[in-house]
Amino acid sequence: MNSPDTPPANARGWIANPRDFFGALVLLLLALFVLWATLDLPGQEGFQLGAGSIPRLFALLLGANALLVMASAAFTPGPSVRYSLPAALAVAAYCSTGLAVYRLAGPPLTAVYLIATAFLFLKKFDELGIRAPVFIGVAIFAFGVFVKPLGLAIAVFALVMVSAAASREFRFVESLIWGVALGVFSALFFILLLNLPIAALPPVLLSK
Amino acid sequence: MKRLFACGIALAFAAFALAPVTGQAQLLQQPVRIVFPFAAGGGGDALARLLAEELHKGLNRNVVVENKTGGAGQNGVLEVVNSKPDGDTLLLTPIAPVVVYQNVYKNLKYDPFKDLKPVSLIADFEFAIAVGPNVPAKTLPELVAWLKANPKQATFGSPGAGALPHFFGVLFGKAVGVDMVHVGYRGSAAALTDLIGGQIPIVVTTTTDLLATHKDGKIRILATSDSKRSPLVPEVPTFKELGYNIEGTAWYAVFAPAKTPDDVVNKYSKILSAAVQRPEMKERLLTMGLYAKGSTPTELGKLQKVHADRWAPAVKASGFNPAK
Amino acid sequence: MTDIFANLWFGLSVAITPTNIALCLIGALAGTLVGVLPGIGPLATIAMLLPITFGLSPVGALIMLAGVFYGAMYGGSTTAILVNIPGEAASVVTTLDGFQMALQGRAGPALAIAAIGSFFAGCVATVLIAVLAAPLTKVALLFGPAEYFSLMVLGLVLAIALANGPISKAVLMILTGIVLSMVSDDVQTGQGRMTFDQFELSDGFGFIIVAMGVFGVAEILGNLMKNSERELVTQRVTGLMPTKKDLKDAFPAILRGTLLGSFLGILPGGGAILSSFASYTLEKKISKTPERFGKGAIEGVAGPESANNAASQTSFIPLLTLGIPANAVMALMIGAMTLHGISPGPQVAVKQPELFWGLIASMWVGNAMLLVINLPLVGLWVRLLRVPYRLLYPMILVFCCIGVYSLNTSSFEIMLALAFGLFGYWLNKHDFEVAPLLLGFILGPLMEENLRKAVAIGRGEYLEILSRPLTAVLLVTAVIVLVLALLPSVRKQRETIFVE
Repeated sequence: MNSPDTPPANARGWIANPRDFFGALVLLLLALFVLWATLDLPGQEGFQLGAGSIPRLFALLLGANALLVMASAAFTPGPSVRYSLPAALAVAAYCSTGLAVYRLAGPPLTAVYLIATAFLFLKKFDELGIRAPVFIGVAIFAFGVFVKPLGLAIAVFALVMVSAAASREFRFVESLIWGVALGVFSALFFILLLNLPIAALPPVLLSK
Repeated sequence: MKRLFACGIALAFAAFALAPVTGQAQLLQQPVRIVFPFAAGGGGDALARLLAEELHKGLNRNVVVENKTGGAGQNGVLEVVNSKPDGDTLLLTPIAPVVVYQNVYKNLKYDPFKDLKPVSLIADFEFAIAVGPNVPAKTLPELVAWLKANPKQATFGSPGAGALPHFFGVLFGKAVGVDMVHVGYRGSAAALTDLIGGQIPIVVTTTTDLLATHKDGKIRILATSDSKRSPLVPEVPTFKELGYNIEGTAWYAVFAPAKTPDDVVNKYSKILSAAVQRPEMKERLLTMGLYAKGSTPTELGKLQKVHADRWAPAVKASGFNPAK
Repeated sequence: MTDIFANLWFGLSVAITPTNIALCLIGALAGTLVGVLPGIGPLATIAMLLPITFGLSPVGALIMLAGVFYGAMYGGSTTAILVNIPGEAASVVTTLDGFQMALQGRAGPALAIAAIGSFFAGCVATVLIAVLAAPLTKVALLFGPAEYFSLMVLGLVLAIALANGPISKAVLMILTGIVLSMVSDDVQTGQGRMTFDQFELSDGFGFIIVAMGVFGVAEILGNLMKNSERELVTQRVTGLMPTKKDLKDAFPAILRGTLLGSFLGILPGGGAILSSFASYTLEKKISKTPERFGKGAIEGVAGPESANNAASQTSFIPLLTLGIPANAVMALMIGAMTLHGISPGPQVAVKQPELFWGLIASMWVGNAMLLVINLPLVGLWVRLLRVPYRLLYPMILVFCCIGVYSLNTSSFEIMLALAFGLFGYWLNKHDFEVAPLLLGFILGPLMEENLRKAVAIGRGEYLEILSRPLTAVLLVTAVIVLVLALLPSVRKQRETIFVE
């Protein structure tokens, strides 16, 4: 994970424009991944193009272009990008424990675990500068996991509460009210009016 | 504040306009789901929504349509197969996922005969072969002669690779002894545009999709695929009449998870069969190009087996093999 | 000629009965309100609202659905301008300058000019449909797979102009978009490509998923990471309505956008998708001050919005003259027609003239309703921006998530949207622009599909395929545009190296 503030452009190492250089490097890796993933697809057969022809062509183009951008970024000065090691370690620890819980206890409890630890270590995440991605990520994850077993209203409430905490202006009571309001509104609007095939409340509570 | 108030009124107004005529207990009641394994907006989707309306009337319960796309229909079927067999989940599917996929996909994750319980056949439809303005042939035998004289033109379009019209085109090629190159489109409309524009000589798709442009004289339907002539184009002969022993019909049918209780299945079957047999419903379906059927669960089960045997050789002959 | 106007008049007399006006108004209102929600585009809106037309007369139902369609289209632009989330392909371009205008406190003029431009384009296109439907259809039929392939190549080259930064990075983004779009089952052979046997990937990443991720979630992350309080958009509101100067700036753009969109809209193989950003590229190229684009140029909203609306209007032409739907929304309209017992096609004009001309006239009425509904609503939408950001962004997230989930009731797809959100944030951080990525993502599959169709039909004889007159013209144009785009940047690069 990276921190929001980029140091001034003079604090640069052997690469003149790290921002473009590392950006293009990741896209180069993407291109290589695509080449690898489409390896087993047939190319041209007779006169017909195969399923793999065009993806490989564009992966090659992407890779070549990424190399060009990297080459020019190595010599043309530009802004820097700071990646923070402690933040990366924290995220790694957070995700891997989450994964362990997922294996042991299944998705809903993982969401509960992730929400609980996020709030528990709120200060720490804030100091590391990764409060927003952690809370937004967990909020969306929780929505995805909760919406089926618990219904739309509760999933929306959880999404609002957790995502609101991503901001430094987080106010608990206000978010509580806002979460309830949006939960009720979503249930009424999307289910009653638009008839979306989503349960409003936990399906176990519903009558037949 | 005034603006907010106005907004509230607008919302309430919209609410009135939108509110479907369903019970107030809708939020507290488990709805019956009709899973449709393709995206919202297509022809089958409209059928699903029509049936939902009918079931709602027949059961006096809320009925929702759930589009579950992916894997050319496999995902939706799988969703139903894995649902609780309590009668609250139904599958509306076209023929392919429950009749030919066991021959197409090597690692199909369901058995269409064991994991699903037939409920009711809804409606039939058939295919037709049509030629565009650049093809001189006026009849099917003329077309065959033309194809043999111009083997480089032996290309046909279908509404999708792996869809039944694709296999039917292959069947036709085998029957007349011409090696036909297949071009898959995304839906009939795109194939039809190319056909009218003379970009592709032949298209095989449902009779309905070809009907309007055929009547307009822009393309010519040369043969239809059922055992009897199509009521939509009674002047066009069938393949069988012309001496080619190929036949193909497709249908939409409703299935339920395998362990759904028989009395529930029978109840649904009766409601649906009665609904599609009502005259105004029949007419509605006919404009959608569907011949209303309705059936008992047993009849549908038999039909499923018969058709599975019929399509198996065509699938093999097409060489269509996504696992390759 | 007089015949046509007599027919239009007849159509208007059908469309302007009190019931039909009311239906159109309700449809447009409902369409706007649902279409404004990020993640719910016109297609989903119409599909959801279809059942409420079951009880209406065929003309009434079609008029209402036309209203829903225009309402939802316009609602999508509203979201693009206000919160930088495009609900469908056409509004990707609107985000570029529309949202910048909103940031400068000019959301009102941006929304108003979008409504006015759409209305103007709608009026022109309606007359065009009535007068020129038949000859335009002939033009559309000249386009086969080979022509569409080259049109898409040209489109991808034009997409470079969307970026503000260096061209090499824009190209990189377009290519990334294309590569991402290749994740799906192959259309010709059914083989899974990079899908890893996940059904959710077999139809590719949905546009809504990618757009909600790289625009919706990434934008929120970016704002929250800025540490500082987000500059409140409306603190500097400078009037709700466009000024005289705005109108003067926007008018030529509206005119050009309308022409361009009207023409591209008749090409059912994806022409309408190109219309909005072809118009943007055109405006940027001929502008005397191209540097204003991407920083809140009103032409950058007016042109594309008009082009888009004109195109969505003229995309009715193949439907009316051939009975062929040009896109998914049109296919849905056909579905609606058949549900009401009408088989669409050329014979509709002869057999049911009240329906044919009523529908054409209702397009005009629908556009007028849009203006009537939306000009007063501008104030309301702008007020929405005054909601504190700490309350606004959870709400946006809620609507994005529900929008994604409603597509396929799949939790996995919500996780995908999250992944695209993180990816989009990372791209922004490294100064990659996401609009070209999204366009590559949309156009890439169209290009591949048409190329492969062309090769199959032409039996692999590339020279013959590529030398078809229209194809050759389009491809040569693409090459020229590409060279023209690359030349200045090469020169600039040389200069900077020289300076070093």
